[in-house]
Amino acid sequence: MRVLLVDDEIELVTTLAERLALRDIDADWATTAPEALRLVQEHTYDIAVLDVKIPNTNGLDLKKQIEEVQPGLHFIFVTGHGSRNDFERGVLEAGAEYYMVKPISIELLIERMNDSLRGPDQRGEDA
Amino acid sequence: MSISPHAGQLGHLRFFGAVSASISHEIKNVLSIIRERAGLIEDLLDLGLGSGQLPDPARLRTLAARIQDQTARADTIIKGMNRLAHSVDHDRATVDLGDLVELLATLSARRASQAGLTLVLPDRAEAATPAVTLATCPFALLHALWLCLGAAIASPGAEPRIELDIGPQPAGVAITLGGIDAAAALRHDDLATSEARDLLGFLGLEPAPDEADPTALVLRLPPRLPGDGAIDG
Repeated sequence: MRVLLVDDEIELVTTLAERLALRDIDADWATTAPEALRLVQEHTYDIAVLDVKIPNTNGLDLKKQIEEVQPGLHFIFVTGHGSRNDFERGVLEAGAEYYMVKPISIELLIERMNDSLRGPDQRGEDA
Repeated sequence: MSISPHAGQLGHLRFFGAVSASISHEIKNVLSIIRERAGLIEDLLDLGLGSGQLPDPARLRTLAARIQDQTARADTIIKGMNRLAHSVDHDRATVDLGDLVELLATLSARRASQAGLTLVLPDRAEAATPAVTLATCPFALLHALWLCLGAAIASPGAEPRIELDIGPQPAGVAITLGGIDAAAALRHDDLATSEARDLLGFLGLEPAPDEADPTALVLRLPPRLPGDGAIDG
């Protein structure tokens, strides 16, 4: 699995990337939307984990820009403490189970990433 | 036309709510970093125990230091919130404008960084000038400065930073927000509401572009509140 992590907190993304690497998950990271877009133009990812609040844009708009480069990419949103509007829009974009509130457990994040990549059929959900 | 007391109260609550939301978001980020750093220490120890080789002590020391940095960051944020909360204790007080602007910068750091901007404060140790003080309503002044700084953040200049400065004026004191499009900031919607106009009027705060520098918005304040009128709310 190759993951793109996007969050403006550099210490968070670098540490999370290292912890994922220790679990044999290849993770790249970006702290701004332009960096994230450059990475998706240069590499192919299975899933992107996006902070809802990103400088000069937001994770939900960045998702649309990334999808233009890599259609079919899976997404998980994380938020510090979003508003009701952020939550509703995030759920609409990714589904309630893929909208996570910080601080997140790495085990739960990996579980959600695996679930997302398996798709609803293999999760035993209604399609 | 003056706004109703209810509208004034709502305006103050909106300000307090916006600061609280921003701070709770930032504290969540700090907690996330602490959690990941501690988790990485745990991972490295588990890996070491599995391989029979303990992790590099220097690495562990660095990770522990980063956790301490984050607790210091959280402490600064919470102290700022506490000072804002206590700013309503006194309806009138003599405030050190340098302290107030520092608090404003602490409370607004995340708002600025979300716009890709950094807030730059004057170096008070180097300035070695007497404190700039004024008699005012501390909470109302913070609210007004929050609105003005919000307008400045929405009107950036060529560089990704806003320089905050303070100084005495012939008829009071002034705060300068430099490095922005001052005319655009002055036209910002948040400063055009009747609520904002009443708040600025109550404080005697007059925002205007610097006559010599269009990238600086000067916020002039009288040495004390004009008249004896109480602010709505």
